[in-house]
Amino acid sequence: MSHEKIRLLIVDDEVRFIETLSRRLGLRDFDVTAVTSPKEALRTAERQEFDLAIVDLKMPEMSGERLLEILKQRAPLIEVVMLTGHGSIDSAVTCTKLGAFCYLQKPCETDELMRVLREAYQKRVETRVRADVERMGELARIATEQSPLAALRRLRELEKQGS
Amino acid sequence: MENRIDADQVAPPIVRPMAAHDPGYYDQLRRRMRWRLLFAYCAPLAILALFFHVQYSVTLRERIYSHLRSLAENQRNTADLFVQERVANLRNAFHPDSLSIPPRNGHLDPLLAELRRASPAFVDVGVFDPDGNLLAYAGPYSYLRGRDYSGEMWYRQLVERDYVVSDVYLGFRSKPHFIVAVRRTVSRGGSDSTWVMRASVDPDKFGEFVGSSAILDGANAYIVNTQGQSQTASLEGHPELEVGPLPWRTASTSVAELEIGGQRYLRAIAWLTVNDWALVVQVPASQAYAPMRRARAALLGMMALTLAFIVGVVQRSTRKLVARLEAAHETQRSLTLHLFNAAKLASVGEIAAGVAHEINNPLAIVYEEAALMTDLLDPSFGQAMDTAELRERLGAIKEAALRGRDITRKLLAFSRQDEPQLAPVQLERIVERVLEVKDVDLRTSNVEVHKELAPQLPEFVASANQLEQVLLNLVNNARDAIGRNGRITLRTRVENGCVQLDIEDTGRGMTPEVLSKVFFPFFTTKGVGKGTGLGLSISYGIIKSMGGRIEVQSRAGHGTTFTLFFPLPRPTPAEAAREEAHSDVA
Repeated sequence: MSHEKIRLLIVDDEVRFIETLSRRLGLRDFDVTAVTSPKEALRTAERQEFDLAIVDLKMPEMSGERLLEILKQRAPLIEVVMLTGHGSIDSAVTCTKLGAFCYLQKPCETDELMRVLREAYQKRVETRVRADVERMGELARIATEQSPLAALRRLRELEKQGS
Repeated sequence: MENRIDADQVAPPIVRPMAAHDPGYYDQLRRRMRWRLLFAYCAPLAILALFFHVQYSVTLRERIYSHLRSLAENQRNTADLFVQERVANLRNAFHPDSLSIPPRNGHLDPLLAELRRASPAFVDVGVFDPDGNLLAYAGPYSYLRGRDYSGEMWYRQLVERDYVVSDVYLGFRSKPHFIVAVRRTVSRGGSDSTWVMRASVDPDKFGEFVGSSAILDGANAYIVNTQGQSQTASLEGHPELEVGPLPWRTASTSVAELEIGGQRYLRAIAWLTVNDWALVVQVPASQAYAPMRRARAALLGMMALTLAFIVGVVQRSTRKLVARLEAAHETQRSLTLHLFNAAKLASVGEIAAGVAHEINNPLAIVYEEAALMTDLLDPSFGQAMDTAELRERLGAIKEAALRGRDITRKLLAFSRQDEPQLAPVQLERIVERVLEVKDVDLRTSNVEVHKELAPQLPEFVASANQLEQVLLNLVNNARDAIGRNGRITLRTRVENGCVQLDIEDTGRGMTPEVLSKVFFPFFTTKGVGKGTGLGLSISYGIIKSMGGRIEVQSRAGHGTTFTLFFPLPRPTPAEAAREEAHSDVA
């Protein structure tokens, strides 16, 4: 898994901006998918899994906050970085509560953005590992403590949860 | 439930933008104030002065009349007394103790001497027999002796009376005189006969006596008979003293003012008791009224002095007051201007968030393009860039920079802090400009803007700058009321001689309580630091100062509509006729 590219979703209504940004991040070994509207983002996220997302705050159709909320509901492990033209303390607090990893202001320096993305990915990996470890422990417990039939039932439940 | 109010109904205090008064205004104010104050001070003074003057004149005139009356009566009494004394003198002289009948020649001389001792006015004395012949005489006209007087009027009058005083006449001696005569009945041998004694009196002496007790400066006192002929001095050369035939005697003394030969005189007439003679005292009115004239001059002088003083005080205080008013106006004007600019900056501040977003977006593009070019130049990435791509990327940077410039330009145009300038404005252009500024904010909040602008809206005179401020305020409020996802409708129309503009939103609306307070200064439902509470209050002031009106209707949970009314100038009859003709052709 560590040799795979980091899958990144960029959502922003500025076409020129996402085109350039996605190309640059592509150069830095990201697997970038860029979309220009929140609805398109949701559709894309339904089809494929992402490690990270960069989301603009002010967009037609739907606000960045709302998109963040939905993304986190659907895939709690995704780490979302908010990137906005004009941030306010109110919206930063809201986004943090909704589970955003970081709140950045445009234009953002490359080093800063890369650092944040690395940290976000780090966090995602750690969370994933922790979840895996917990799952292994659970499996072990099921295997040792329960009847084979009950163990099979529990396993199926776990499988459901994990997906 | 729909609630609708006219801002004027709730009568909020008006924070009105003030235009500077032109310099003539204060001059005019000063003039008007000066005249009013002068009138207020002087009118009662003048009325009072006039009242006292009239009162004083009337009193003084009455006093002068009564003075003249008592003067005439005094003189009349003197004259009466004089004549009565002469009659008494004559009675004494004709008494049997003094004179025996018939008198002998020479008997009368000592009698005349005695009479003249009593009064030098006696000229002569004579005694008439019962047939009316002058029997004895003493005096300068001895040729009168022996004449028959039985036909004379005065002699005949004696039949009925004890004594007679005649008018002045020339008589046989051809010299003016009047006579005093008394009778005496003598009984001799059983038959009575009537003897008469007569003395003539010099009217000049009588006149001296009447006029002697020097009466009044410039006054003349003389005695006239019922025909108005003078009995004391000749009136020749003094036409103003001519009295003319008098009406029959009156009990009281009359005083009259009359005009003779273009001059006014006061004349008092008092009737004597001894005879049908009247004593006349006449004095020129100018002389009589001299004290009144003096009093009037003094009053006028005082009035003039008081007036000068009042004018001075009024002039000074008016100048001071208007100067103070001018200063206060200026202060108020500059404070209001500051308040307006502050409120405007606050409303600009409300859109600043959107603007920052708008500026940072092109900046982000600039950054990313430059960073990409740096990446492509970095050999470690192993990428190359041809000139076409370079040109394209530089073009994007330039475009982003221009985008940023446009945004700042729009914002600056909006936050101009200048004096309101009145000019004909096109409402649709103002609507467009405000929507341009709010465009990104509205779009990113997913607020749809609906424009229902009437074609060919008539222009009206207003300050475009202030109107933009009002509209920006209302659009800001509409957007805040909506939050996200909603619609703002801007609708214009001409109705009832007004250009009307609706700003309708699909926001959360207002309760009647909130609605009744929205136009009050510092009332806000926005959070601390988000709204000043001045926007609507100042918008109300601006619209009021344009002669317009604001109405608002709201339904909690459904939205709010603000309607602005701008009255159009009434067309002159000529314009109306032209317009009608035009529409007929159309």
